[in-house]
Amino acid sequence: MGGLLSYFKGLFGSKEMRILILGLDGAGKTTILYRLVGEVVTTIPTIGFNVEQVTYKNLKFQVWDLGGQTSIRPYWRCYYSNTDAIIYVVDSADKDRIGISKGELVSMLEEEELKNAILVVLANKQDIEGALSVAEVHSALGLDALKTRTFQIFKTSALKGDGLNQAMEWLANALTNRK
Amino acid sequence: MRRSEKCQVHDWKLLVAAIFGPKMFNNLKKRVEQEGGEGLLSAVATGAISGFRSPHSSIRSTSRESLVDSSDRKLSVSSVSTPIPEESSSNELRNRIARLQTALDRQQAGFDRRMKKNDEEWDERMKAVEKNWQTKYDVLKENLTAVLDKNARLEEQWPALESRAKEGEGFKEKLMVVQDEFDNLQSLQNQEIAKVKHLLLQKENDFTVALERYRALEESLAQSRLENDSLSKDLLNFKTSQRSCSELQDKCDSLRFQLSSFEAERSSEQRKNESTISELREKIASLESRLAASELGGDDRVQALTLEQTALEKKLEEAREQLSNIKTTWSSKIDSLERQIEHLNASKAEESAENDKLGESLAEARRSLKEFERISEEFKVKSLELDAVERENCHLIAELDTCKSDNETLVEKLQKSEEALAQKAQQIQEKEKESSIARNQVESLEKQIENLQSKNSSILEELVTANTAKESFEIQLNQAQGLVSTLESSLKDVKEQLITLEKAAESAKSLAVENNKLEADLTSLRKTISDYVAANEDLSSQLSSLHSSHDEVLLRNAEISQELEMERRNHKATEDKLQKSDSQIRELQSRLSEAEQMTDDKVEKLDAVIKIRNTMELLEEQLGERNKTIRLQNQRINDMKKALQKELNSKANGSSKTSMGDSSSEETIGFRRELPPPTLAVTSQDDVNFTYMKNVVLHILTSKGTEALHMTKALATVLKLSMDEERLVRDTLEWRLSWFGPKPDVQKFLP
Repeated sequence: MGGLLSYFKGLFGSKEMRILILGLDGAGKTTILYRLVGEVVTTIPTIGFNVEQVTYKNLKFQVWDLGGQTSIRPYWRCYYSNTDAIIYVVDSADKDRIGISKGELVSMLEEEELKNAILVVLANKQDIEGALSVAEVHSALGLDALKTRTFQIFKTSALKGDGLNQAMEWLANALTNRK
Repeated sequence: MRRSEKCQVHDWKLLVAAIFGPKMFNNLKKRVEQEGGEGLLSAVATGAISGFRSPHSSIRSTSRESLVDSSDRKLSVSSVSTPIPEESSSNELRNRIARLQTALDRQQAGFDRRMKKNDEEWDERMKAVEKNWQTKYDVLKENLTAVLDKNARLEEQWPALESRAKEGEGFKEKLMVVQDEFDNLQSLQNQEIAKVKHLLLQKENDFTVALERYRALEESLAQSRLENDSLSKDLLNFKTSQRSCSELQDKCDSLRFQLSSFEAERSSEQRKNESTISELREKIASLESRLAASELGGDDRVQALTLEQTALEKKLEEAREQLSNIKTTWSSKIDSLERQIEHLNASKAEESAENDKLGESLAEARRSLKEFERISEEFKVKSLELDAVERENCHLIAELDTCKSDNETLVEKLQKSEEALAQKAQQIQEKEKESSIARNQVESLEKQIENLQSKNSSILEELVTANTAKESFEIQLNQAQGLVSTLESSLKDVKEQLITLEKAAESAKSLAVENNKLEADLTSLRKTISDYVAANEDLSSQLSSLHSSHDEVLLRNAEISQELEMERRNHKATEDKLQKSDSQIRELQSRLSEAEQMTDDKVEKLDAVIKIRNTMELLEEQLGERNKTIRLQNQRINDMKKALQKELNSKANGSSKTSMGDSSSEETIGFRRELPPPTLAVTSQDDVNFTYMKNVVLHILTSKGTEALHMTKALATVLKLSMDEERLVRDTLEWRLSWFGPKPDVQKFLP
């Protein structure tokens, strides 16, 4: 039955975009995923992943929220194949671990399977006082070094739901333009 | 000194106060005042004062001095317990004390004044000294600063000077290099000059050789030109001779024409003669007949006449025959002549053709021309001969005239005979009227005959002349033949000459070719000469350029040497300056060392302070790090606490987990809302991996096929599946999704 549905979906509907939400643990990935779905949830650390289908402007996204804990970060690369876009979430208030975040981002972008993937960086937790600004996050992640990648950085607050719409609009435009 | 004693007093007081405390000291004071212990106090005071070597010390008693001296070493406390003297003496003592106090006060006042004065003086002195010192210090400071400035300047200048010295050394090296280069250049120049000279000499030699060749060529050219001129002259002569030849040919043609016309006239005359002869014969015959008819008287004469007539007729016939013979011979000869002439014409035409052909190349035809001239002369001679022939003709005509005269005489005789006949006729007039008529007729006939005879004679003469002409013609022909032969020989010669001329022409051509070659050679030589000249010019220009470069190099050398001298001078000056400055610097350094020694202490102090600060900062950093670690540990502890609390809670609410999972798995249709699976915050790696594996498996089991396909890799890594096993899982998932296709062989992998 599911096969039939997917078959018809493949026949009539447009192909689903595959998006990964990545980032360190506690950055707010799961909250953002369920914000995109339209829910406000209280989350616990994700050991594993969450998959949701998000429709935005007649575009269907299959959004994968992968757990960001140190021990399960190596499993990220199992999901890289056929990925259209990456949403990389950074905890702007966590100044101590932004270096680790940068390292993870850099090693991820070096992957061959993600060579054509569009990158959206979300400087999350902007609602917290003393959080790094977008420019600071930009410089801290070393995004200046990215030359060939189509990417954009947005300041978001997953708790308040700020900035997510802009990011998704840009991502939808970038994905439609890339086709 | 006084100050120190004062300080000592104060120190004593302080000592006492320190030992017994302020209260006890006051009590002691009171007790001393009450119990007349002023002596002690005074002793204390005097003991304190005894040190002063004031002029008022004579007032004091020796006993007290001794007391003071004795009590000076001992603590005053020890003398406190000494027995108190009597009241009378105490009054005196009081008075004394009062006096002493007053005296002391005075002394103290005076002393204070003195002290003040001394202090003031001292202060003034000090101030003066300080001022002096300050001024000196300022001066020194200024000097020092100036010296420091100078030193700084000199230090600033020092590297520049050093760099200058280095530059000077570099210049020296450069000069050496330049000199070497210059020497090399000079040697090269000399070599090049020698080469150039050698080349020049070679070229000059070549040039002289070429010039000689050129001269020889020019001479040969001049010769060839002369030859050419002579040839052209010959050609002109030949042309003129050709013209003369053509003129001669024209003359010949005209002569031929004259001959032909002459022949035509002769033939016409012959015809006329023949006709007249025939007519005369007829007439003679008629006359004879008439005579025969009229011969009655004087037959002898008539007979003689008739005999003569017959003889004459015979002669005439003979002459006719001769004439005819001559005619035939003439005609044949004429024909032969004509043929010869034709031959000659043909040969001439051939000659002319040959001439025309060879005319361009014929250059030397002098001899032929001369021969032609000779021929023309011969022609002239022949014409003269012809004239002679004509003269002979004239003679013949004269002879003919004589013949005529003879004839006339004969005619006269005839007339006489006629007259006699007339006499006879007169005698026989009547009979001979007819005969007279006949005679008249005869006379007319005779006249006619005479005419005829004359004509005949003329004809004869003409014949003779023709014969002579023939002979002359024959001679001429022979001559012409000889001429022709000579002409042929001359032609041969001419041909030979032509051949020679051709050869000459060829040689001339070859000469011209050689000339051209020579000219080309000349031009090439000229070119080479011009090239050489250009090369020479280039070489000279190079030489000049080299000279100029040499001059430039010399100039540069001179400039560099000048610069070097300047540099050396500057260097010397700077060295002098440096030496001066060195001495100054040494002085300054000595001063500086003094100052440095002064400052070193400060610097050491500062270093110590800085070290302290650094240690402070390090300690602060360590403190901050420790604080951070403490914070992190606190956070961890908090997390642990939270986790523990949650665990406790979860343990308390153990059954709720399964119900949540059921509720989430039920909402699969439509927009699937799948809450994250409840996960435990575990510390150990294995637990995390286990939970991760569990969640992945759960997802795969609960998800759609497409999502499950994406999870196979993660599942394979979590479960450490082999490639084949992963492919099997993928295949089965795909088979599940597809409508058709074979089921993958699962049994193969399962044990």
